[in-house]
Amino acid sequence: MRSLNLYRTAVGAVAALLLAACAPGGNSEAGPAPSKPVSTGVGSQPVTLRLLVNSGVDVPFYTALGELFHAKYGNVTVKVDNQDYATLTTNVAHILAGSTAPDIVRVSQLGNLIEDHLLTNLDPYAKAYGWDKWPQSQFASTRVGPDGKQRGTGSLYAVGPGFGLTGVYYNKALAQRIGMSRPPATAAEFDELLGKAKNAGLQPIMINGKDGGSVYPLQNLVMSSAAAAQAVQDWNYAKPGATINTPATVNGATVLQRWGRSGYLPADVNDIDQTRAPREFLDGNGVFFPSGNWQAPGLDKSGAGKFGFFLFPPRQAGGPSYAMTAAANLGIAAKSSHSDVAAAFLDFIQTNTQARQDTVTLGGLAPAGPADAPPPTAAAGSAVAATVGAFQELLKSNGLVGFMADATASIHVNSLIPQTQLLLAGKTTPAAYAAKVQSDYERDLRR
Amino acid sequence: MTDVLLRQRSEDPVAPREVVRRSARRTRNWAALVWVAPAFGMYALFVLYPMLQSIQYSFYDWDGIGPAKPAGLDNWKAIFTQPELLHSVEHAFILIVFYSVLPVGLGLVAAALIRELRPGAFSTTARVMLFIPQVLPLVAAGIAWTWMYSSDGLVNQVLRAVGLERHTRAWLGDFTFALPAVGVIGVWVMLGFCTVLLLAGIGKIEPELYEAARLDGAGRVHEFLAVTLPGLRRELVVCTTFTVIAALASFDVIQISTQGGPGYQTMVPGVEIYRLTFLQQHVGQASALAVFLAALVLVIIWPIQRLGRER
Amino acid sequence: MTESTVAQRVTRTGILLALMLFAIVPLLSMFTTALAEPGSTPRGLTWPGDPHWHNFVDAWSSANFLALFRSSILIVVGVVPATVVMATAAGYALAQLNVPFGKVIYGLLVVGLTLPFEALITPLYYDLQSMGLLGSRFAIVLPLIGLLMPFGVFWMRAHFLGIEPALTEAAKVDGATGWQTFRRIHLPLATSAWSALAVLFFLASWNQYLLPLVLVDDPSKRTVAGGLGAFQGQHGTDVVLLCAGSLLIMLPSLVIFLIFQRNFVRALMQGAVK
Repeated sequence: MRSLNLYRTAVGAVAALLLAACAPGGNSEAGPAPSKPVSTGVGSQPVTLRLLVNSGVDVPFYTALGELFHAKYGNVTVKVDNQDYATLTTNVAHILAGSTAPDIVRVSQLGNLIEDHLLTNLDPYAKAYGWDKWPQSQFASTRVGPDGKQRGTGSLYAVGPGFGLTGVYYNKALAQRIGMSRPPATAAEFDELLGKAKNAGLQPIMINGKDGGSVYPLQNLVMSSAAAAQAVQDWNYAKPGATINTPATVNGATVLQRWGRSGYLPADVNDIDQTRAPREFLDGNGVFFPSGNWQAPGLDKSGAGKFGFFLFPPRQAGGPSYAMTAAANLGIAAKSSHSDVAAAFLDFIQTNTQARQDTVTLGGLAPAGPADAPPPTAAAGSAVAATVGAFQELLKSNGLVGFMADATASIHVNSLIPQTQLLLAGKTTPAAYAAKVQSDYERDLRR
Repeated sequence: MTDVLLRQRSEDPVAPREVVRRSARRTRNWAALVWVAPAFGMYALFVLYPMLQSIQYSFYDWDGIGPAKPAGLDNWKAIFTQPELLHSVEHAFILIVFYSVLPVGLGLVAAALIRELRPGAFSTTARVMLFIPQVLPLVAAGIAWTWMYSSDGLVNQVLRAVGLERHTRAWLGDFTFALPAVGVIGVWVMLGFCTVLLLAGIGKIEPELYEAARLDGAGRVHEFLAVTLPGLRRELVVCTTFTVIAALASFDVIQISTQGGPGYQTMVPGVEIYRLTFLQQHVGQASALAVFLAALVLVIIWPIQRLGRER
Repeated sequence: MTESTVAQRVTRTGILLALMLFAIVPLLSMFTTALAEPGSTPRGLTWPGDPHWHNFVDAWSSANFLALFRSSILIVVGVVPATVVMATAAGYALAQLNVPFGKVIYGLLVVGLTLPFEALITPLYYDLQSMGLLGSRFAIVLPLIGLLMPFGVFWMRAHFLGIEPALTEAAKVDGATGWQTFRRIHLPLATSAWSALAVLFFLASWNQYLLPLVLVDDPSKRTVAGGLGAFQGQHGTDVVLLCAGSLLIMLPSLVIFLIFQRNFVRALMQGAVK
């Protein structure tokens, strides 16, 4: 009997599916979703705000922010779920399109999310909360134009508590051994220090090539070689006609490849992942560790005062310094039924003093927010203090550039990581590298 | 679970079928459809219908969420023109050596060795031990071997212990060795299955054949070639079929251990399909590759099956 | 016994032992690693001076294994009985009853034996989404029933083909209905076949990774194997915890196999002797 029913259901379902399927998809209407009136309150009804973030440091950090918010607004409970970075990046579009979409999601790449109307347009909230009066560069990377692809312009779709920032950590004791008294002033000087480290029998650079850490110095080398970042930024933002297949990229790739060949990078670089690299660096394996400010709390915890941080040096002394940055972006799911409360949470984490302090100490991120917000504190001489200082400096000098890794949803996993691995193994040439990344990029953007 | 599939194909008893056919030449029993309907309904709904959809999707450019645009044969052409896609298919073929050829070969050896043992605790232990990897989740196999191959893992530990320090490396991060290393995981998983099935096959070879061979003065090798191998024909076909499917359809082990890296060195169609669909949102391209993979399996399995049927 | 045969015997045993070692060593390496000091990086295969059995408890709680086991059991309970029943019915009908278009139906099912799961995962995703089942355990259970069905029908049909039709005829003469014939005569004879099938299906469901990974976002609603994938993503660093967790999830598969290994092998042998 049961099987008979199942059979009927099955037949019914087959029929329904056959009827529904003419061309796949096609059910989503064109044009941006209509904006509904927004409110800045959280109401008094009990609300559970569901937050989906990356595994790892995100979890205690956002849990703490959620508790702060709950302490202020008793009717709102923030529930933090997590997925590991690769899985979340891979599935975020489908999670947001699904019936169990969270209210707020950590988005690393915007990909097709805007085109497919999966995130809430935050413009009305920006106006209501006065975000439009803050320094606007902090929102550039999550503005998306009407075509759903070009970034840096158009409407706002995500904001976050703070910013990631890349640079180079150094082991102070080992740096002293190779005679480094101050951070290198030029890229050439940095190169020289690497050679000295190698000659001293030290591992010059520790880096994770398995999951893309080696792409950071590459991008820095590209920008340093060009002594400009506009081309890279345009590329990141999918500006029409932007290309990465440039002499600067070829130069940068050439230098990185030479570093690999000269033994400046670990021999098994392609097998080191982002959890092993900092551990090795902490253990003294590596004079330099190009990475981001999210590593700073961990380094300070295990070896307070032992590690310094500098921005990747410019081509010429005194020239512009650049660093990659990305907001720890949170977007509101288009399907969320608590978008007002979610927006209140987003405002809170950018403005509340304690939340901003947690952003530094728990998240390892540099908070931005309003221009007049009090800067958080960090112990002098700590790696955290160095990263916070560097961030303020770059905010002023306009030296913050997005990650090439975030240019499209899959450019990192499908092109930059494997291509950089090939480059370091000597299996591709710098010229072929630049051309291939560009062609993959165009395919991703369906150009 | 393509895993345990096909296990019994060889045992399809031919004779009784003939009997059934003869005795059952009655009017069609329409009521009997009710017995088949639930099974076939579930199969149609969750296998046949999606397969047809895959074929349909493969002719569209669709990001999986927005509207789809007809794409003609573009997705199909890409399989043969995009080096990454083509390489993933090549890698699947290389994996056949590890998932299929080696386990069947070693399985023959192991089965022959176990057969010569007196039945007892040791032969049972050998059989059970060799079979264990087959019953474990492939995810666990991936994790176990990722650890074996890591810089601190057992493989390097052994190399150091025997003075081959300079040959130590991070095996899964090495361009030359990553694919063979992943392949060895396949040997590990498949060996037990092949051994046990072949052992069962040897058990049913009539002892008289061995005696006859011995009377003819056949040596061990000749006996193996003249008696054992022909007698195992059907088991060999089942082993090969099952392991070839596992090789072409590998996903779990690669996704856990290398994610296709370093470079694209261990990328296989299974992982590529997953990425194309969910990360790149090229559903049409993913579907074309999926249909291609399914067709490839059929095309390769077909002659192997024919080989088993001929007598 | 001559010297050469002794030497041969030693060689043979040696080869066999080497193969057995190959099969078991990765698991031993995991085991000793799982007992090392938490957070440390032990070397390949080293018995820790001070085994930390507590690691298993830590892995158990940090991976939320209780929820995962519960989830896996629900999935197995959803998949195995339904699939075995449907496959038995279909296998019986295709072997013993004169099903209209039986050959076509069987032919289509046999094609399913060769289809890789990956080839279906993309459309399955969208189908389950339109059925509103995505993210629930039904999204794993229902497709799995369909995907396992070809093998089930194949296996049961092979068994029922081996039964003398004379039995059916005899029952008919005694005035038994079709259902009674099946229930009283064929089903009892098929016990070893369907129980072996149930064990195989248990393993296939328990070990399933791809379907849960793609179709269910919430790791606690996946199978243990699917959950372990997420666990690896989160605790990739801590090889000690990872090994302990992996061993925990292997245990049920291993126990089930060791309990049923005799039946397992017998099923294979029986099939072969027929």
